[in-house]
Amino acid sequence: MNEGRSLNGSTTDDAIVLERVTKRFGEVTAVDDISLVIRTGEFFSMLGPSGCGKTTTLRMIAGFETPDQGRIMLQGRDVTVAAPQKRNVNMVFQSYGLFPHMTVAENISFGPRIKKLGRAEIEARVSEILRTVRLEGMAERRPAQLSGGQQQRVALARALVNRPAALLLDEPLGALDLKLRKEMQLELKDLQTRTGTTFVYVTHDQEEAMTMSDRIAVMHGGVVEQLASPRDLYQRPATPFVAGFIGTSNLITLRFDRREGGMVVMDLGEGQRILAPDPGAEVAEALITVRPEWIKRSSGAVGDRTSVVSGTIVDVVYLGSLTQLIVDLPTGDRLSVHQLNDEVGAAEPRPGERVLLQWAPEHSYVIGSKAHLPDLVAGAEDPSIGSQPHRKVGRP
Amino acid sequence: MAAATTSIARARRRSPRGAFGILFAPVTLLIVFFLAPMAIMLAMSIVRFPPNLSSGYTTSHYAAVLSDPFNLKIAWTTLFIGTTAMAIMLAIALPLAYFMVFRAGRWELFILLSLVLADELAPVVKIFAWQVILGRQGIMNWLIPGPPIEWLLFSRFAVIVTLAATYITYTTIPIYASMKAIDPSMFESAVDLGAGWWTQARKILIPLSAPGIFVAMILVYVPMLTDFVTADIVGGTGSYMMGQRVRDLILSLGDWGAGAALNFVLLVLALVFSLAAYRLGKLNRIDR
Amino acid sequence: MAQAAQPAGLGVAAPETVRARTRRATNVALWRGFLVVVFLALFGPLLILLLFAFNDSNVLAFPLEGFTAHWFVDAWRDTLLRQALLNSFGVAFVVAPLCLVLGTLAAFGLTRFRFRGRAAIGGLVGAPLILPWLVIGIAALMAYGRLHIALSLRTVIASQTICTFPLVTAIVSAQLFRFQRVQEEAAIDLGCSRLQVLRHVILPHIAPALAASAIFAFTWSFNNFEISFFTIGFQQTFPIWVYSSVRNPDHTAIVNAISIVISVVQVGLIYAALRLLRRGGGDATTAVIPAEVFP
Repeated sequence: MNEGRSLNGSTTDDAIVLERVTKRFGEVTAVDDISLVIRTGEFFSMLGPSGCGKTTTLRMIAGFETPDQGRIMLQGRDVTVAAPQKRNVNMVFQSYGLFPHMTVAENISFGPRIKKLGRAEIEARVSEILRTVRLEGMAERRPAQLSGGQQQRVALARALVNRPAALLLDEPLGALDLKLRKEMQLELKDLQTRTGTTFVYVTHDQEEAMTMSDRIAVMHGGVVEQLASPRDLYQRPATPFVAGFIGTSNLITLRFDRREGGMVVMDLGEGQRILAPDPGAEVAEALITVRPEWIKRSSGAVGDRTSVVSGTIVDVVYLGSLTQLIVDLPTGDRLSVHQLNDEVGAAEPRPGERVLLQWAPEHSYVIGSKAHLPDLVAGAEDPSIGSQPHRKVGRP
Repeated sequence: MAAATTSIARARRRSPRGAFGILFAPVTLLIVFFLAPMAIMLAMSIVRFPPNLSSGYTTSHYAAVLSDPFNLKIAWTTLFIGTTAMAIMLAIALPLAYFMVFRAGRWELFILLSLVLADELAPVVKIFAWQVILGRQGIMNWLIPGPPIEWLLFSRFAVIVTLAATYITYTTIPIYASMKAIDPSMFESAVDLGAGWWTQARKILIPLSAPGIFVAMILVYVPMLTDFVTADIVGGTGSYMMGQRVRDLILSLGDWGAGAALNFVLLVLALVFSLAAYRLGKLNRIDR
Repeated sequence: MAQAAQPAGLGVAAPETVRARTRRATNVALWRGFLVVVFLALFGPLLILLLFAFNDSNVLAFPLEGFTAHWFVDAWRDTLLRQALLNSFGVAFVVAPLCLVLGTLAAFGLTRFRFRGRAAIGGLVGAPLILPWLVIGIAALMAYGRLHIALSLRTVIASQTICTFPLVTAIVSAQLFRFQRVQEEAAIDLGCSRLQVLRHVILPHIAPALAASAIFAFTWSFNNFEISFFTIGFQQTFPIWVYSSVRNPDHTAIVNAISIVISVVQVGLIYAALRLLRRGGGDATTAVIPAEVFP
């Protein structure tokens, strides 16, 4: 559960490696024995609620915090105790940290100037980066004269101009309004793809992480709960926390009443039952999750190998393209069901009504199990470890 | 790759050693020119006359100073003058600060600047000017019809008025600063709940400005009590204050023992008062 | 930005009754009257001096006599006064830079490090601003006396510096306190050593506060009375000269004239200092108050 290590152990592909890193602040263990491998050229995110240790981890990579235990390697070099200035990574801070008394150009050229690059080189790089982040013409402005989005891009440019091995981003879009945030997410992803720079991104917004990342490390309480691609995180969460954090979770406690045909079944009487792929473990019950879009309203005419259960609608939420039904089950669990609003003149469900729901047994996922699901990309590895083949292209 | 479990001991950059280096000069000088004189003064206050360490120790100076009825009378006069002036200043500073924060709009900065500027004039000069204002042929008597009023000048009244006018700036600014931290929506909810302006003042404004009021008192009350310049210039025999007494004991009467003792008493009182006001001020503090 | 805290009963939503309007008018009039009184109390002394500085009479009394400017000339001719002014300037020119250095060191030491005795040291630094200068002055006098150090301008400089540098600490600390650490980290991230961070990022940020505190320290030193009074030898500084001349009727008009000149110059200087502080950040003006010394 804690490992993100590539199975073949090669290091040439790895931009950043954390080995069993721990960080304590007084009584609190902010980061607890985590190990990560971040690949060159990927968009890697650390996702989790406040206090889960993601920012601390990022700062340790940058060098602003020193691990109490463990090692940090950058491009094969041990940088655990190296000063931030000596690491070839640059950070984009949450509040940008732009220098108010310098112009945009001076801000951006700051790093190269400190490194004493030649004047021609500096000018060339600055113009190039201004073009890349689409801020041409703003070179002589001061940060105070720029909008939030523009300031953000200056912060990006100031970091990228140094051509770092990796760019570290600490919730950089937090200060922007929703529309701008969404635009910037796409821009950031595009920027990362074009420059090929490794991005290490920290956020608490799961939708943001899912939009941009090649792989996400979901963190909670100082540990990595799961490290996988967005798709795997969504469809095969390794823990209840991940199931709840990513997307809408429908958690059902499944009692193993009987096993047959590779499935475990919970009988609910009156012809209702819930099935899930047999996890093979010697347990009497398990937590399963079903994604809301797989649950359909049932006519009742189903075979034995379909989960079917009746419930009471508690709430109906109209979300435009779909309607979300909140349904209480006799098992005591509460489900969220997504219905596409693609039928003209369909009857609106109402709270208080009873409804029959069904879904295919393969769409029940026993959390943390190693069950294979049919809709996976063929040949993929074990999802709970999540070392996907490295991809350069954006998400399909 | 072998798992590294050795703990890393690394000197934190913000080590106390750095602080030591930077603070060395200021702190040393403070000790030499500030604490040491205090210690010497303390020594002078417990040493028999003549002021020589070999003369032996005594507490007679303190006994003399604290039991002298003359001193007690002076203490009373000083407290009267100082407290009256403080009360007047608070009565002016509170509305003034309120006005600046909530009513002044564009004028807020102008008033603040005026307060600070007015204060930066040499105090001696200002006190001198008040002598002119309050004198027999001064502007007050010129404006008020009838025979010149004698007690405007060289009286307790003069000292109180002059002190109030001199220290008003440093009374208003801390109160202003703490009022600025008040969220104005509190008044709106109070109005919404039916509170009149006096209730709002009593229950919201003043309690929340309490930190500022205490700071103001720390900055102003004790300096006023130990003032001697004002009393010298605009005061009379009826306004002989503690500051003058200490000065006279030392410079005119040459009684260093008594003077040191009295001075030390004033020091202790000032410290106690400041600490008390500081603690009290922290109780209500809004942390920005 | 004007914040409306309307007490109940005033400014009620339309329609406004006649009674509400008169009540509001009375209110406004009361406030205006109050402000006038306050401003008179603040600037009255200055205006009075200004008035009499041009009055052709040695007695600062009403009614006014003719208009003249000869007092200024007389002031210039008074050698004692000239010496006192020179002394004040000289002392202030030494005290101000000393205070700037010591005060800034203390500000950095107290705001950027965490160590065990910090509160105590902070209190020690703030003490000269809180404790009455009468007490400090007399203690200094006694100390110099016991240690057989002759009182002179040097002792004045020493004692004044101790009592004034905490003001610089207060102003610079306030500015440092408001400084965003992010900028520092960004600079480090971009490759700066500690010294470079200081030079490129921190110093430009506190430059206005430094300049302003230098001006304040200069003015405080120039105007200082209590400390100088007890630690000076046979010379005089300007405030001491004024003090000793107050009882001398021959001098009153001259005192008046020169006071006006000095005051006007100081007002100008302080105004410049306040503008500098404003540039450093909105609420920096309240940093003038030693209250910021309290952590």
